[in-house]
Amino acid sequence: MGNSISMAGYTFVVEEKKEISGEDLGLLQEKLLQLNWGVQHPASGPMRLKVWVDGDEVVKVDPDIGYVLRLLEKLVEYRTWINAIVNVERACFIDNFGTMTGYSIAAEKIAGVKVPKKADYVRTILCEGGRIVSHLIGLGSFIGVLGVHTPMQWALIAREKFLDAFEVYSGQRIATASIIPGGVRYEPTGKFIEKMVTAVDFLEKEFIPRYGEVFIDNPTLKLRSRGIGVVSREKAIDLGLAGPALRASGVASDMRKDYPYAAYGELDFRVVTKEEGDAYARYLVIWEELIESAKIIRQAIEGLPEGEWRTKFPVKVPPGEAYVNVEWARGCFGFHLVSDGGTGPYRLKMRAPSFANLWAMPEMMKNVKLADVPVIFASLYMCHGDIDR
Amino acid sequence: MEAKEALKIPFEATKKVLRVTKALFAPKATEIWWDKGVRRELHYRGKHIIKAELCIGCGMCSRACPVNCIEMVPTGVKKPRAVPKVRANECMFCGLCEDACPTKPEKAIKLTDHYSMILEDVTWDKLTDYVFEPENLEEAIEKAKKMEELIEKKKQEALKKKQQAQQAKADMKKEQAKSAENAKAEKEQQAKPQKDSKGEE
Repeated sequence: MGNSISMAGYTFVVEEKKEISGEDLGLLQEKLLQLNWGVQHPASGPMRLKVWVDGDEVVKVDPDIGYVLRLLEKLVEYRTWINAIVNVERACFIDNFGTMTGYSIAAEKIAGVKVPKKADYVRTILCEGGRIVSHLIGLGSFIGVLGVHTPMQWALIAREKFLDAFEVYSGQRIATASIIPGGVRYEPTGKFIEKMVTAVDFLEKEFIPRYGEVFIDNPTLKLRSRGIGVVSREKAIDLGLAGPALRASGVASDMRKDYPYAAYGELDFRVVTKEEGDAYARYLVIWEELIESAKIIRQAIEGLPEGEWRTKFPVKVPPGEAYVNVEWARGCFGFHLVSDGGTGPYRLKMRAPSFANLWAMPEMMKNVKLADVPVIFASLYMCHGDIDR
Repeated sequence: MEAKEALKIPFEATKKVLRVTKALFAPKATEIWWDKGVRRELHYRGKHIIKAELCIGCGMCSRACPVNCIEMVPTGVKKPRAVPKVRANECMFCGLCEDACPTKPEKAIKLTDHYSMILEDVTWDKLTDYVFEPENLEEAIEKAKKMEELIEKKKQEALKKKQQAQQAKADMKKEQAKSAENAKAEKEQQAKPQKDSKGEE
C-alpha cells in the first residue's frame, strides 16, 4: 500500500514537520501529504510546486523555480548596446516586443537619443501585436488547465495570423529581434500593414464573436472559477501583484496610461479593471484587453506618420543610469540599466511581473481545494521564462 | 457460391484496376518542396551570402554578432585583409551582421531567403564543419593580388620618376655648384695675378 502511494508521487511528510510548522499544526501533522506538482506538469510547466495537503485542502504551497534559468541579466553584460536585444527579448519569447522596447527606451535615455515618430508608432503596433499573441495563449491555457483544449486551438489559429505579420516585418515569427536602441530595424512596408490589418480583422470579426459566445459567459467556467483565489484591492497592493491580476482587483494601474511611452500618449484607449478580484475576473480582464489592443493597433496604423524609422545610436554611451517601466503583456516590466561609458551595458536588472505574481501565489492558495490549485495558477498569467530569466 | 456473386467478381476486379491506374497518374497530394525554390516573404532571415569582392575586411559583422559565430579569416592580401566566415550551427539568424556592414550600396554580408540547409549523415563533426564561406573568394583574392601588383608597379614607377627627378635636380644643383665653383676659381685665378702684380709693384 505504501509502495503504491510513493509510486504515484505522494510522500508522507514525517521528517519535514518542523519545516511546515511555522505555526503549531498539532495532530494534523500525521495527515499531511506533500504532493510534487511536478516539473513537467502540463499546467505548471518547467517548475515544481510543492503542495502540502490535508485531505483535499491545501495547507501550504512552495514554488521551486530555476529549471529554465538562462542568466540573461549576466549575458547582457557581454554584449554591445545594440545586440543585447537578443538576450532581452528571450525573457519571454511570446511577447518579445515589450521587453525590447523597454530596454531600448532605457538605453536611449542614457545616450540622450531621440527616436523618430514613425519608430514610436511601429513600436506601438508591434507591442500591441505581441500583447494580443500573449493574451490569446493566456486565454487558451486558462481553460486548458480546466480540461478543455478546444479554445487553445482556436486561439492558436488567431495567433498564427499575427505571427505571419511579424514574419513579413522582421523575417522571424517568434524571436524577431526587431526593436533596437535608436528606433526599429526595418521599414514598416505596405505588406506588413496589410497583414496586420487582416490579422486584426480576423481577430475582431471571427475569433472574438465565436470565442465570446462559447467560452466567456460559460456557466461551467463560472462555477469553476468564480470566488476562487480572491484578492482584495488592499491585499493586491500589499502582495505586489502585477498586470491583469492587479487590474482584476480594482487597481487601475497601467504604465501605458500612467507614464506613456512610445506612442501611447497620443492614442485613445481604456484601462480594463474589474472589482471582484477572483480567477474569473482575471480571465475577463485578459479577454477585454484583447479587444482594447485590437483597437489600439487600428488607431496606430491610421496615424502612422511618414519619415525615418531609425536613427544612429552611438557605439559608446556616456556613463549614467536609467530606470524604465513598460506595460508588458503580463504586467509592469522594469529595466534598470547602468552604463560605465563602455561599448555595452555595465549592468541590467530586470524586474519581472511574473516573478512578483508567483510569490503572491502561496498567500492566495491557503485553504483552497486541491482542484483549485491549477485554476489559480493559470489565472495569475505567468510565464516561466520570465520567472527564472 | 451463387451464380450472381460469381458474375460480380470480374466486374469488381476491373473496378479496382481502374481505380489503381487512376491513382497512379493522378497529381500527388504531397509534394517535395525543398528543391522547388520556394520564396519566402520580404526580410526572411535565412542562409548568409558573403561577397568577397565587396568586403573591405573591417570586421564590423564579427563585432556585432551576439553569439560570436563570425570568424575573420585572413586572406593574405591587403584589401580585404580578412573575410568573414559564419559557423552555421552556432548562428541564430538575427541579421545584426547585415545591419553592421558598412559597404554601400550593396552589403557584403547578407541574409538571403534560402532556408533549406539539409545535411546528410549529420554528425557533430559535420555540423561543426558546416560554415557559410564567401563566394568567389579565390577570384577575389587573385583580383586583389593583380590590383596590388598594379598599384605596386605604379608606385615603383612613381618612385623611379621621383628618383629620376631628384637625380636630375641633384645633377642640376651639382652643375650649378660646379659652375659656381668654376666661377669662383676663375675669379680667384683672376684675382691672384692681380695680387701678384700688386706685390711686384
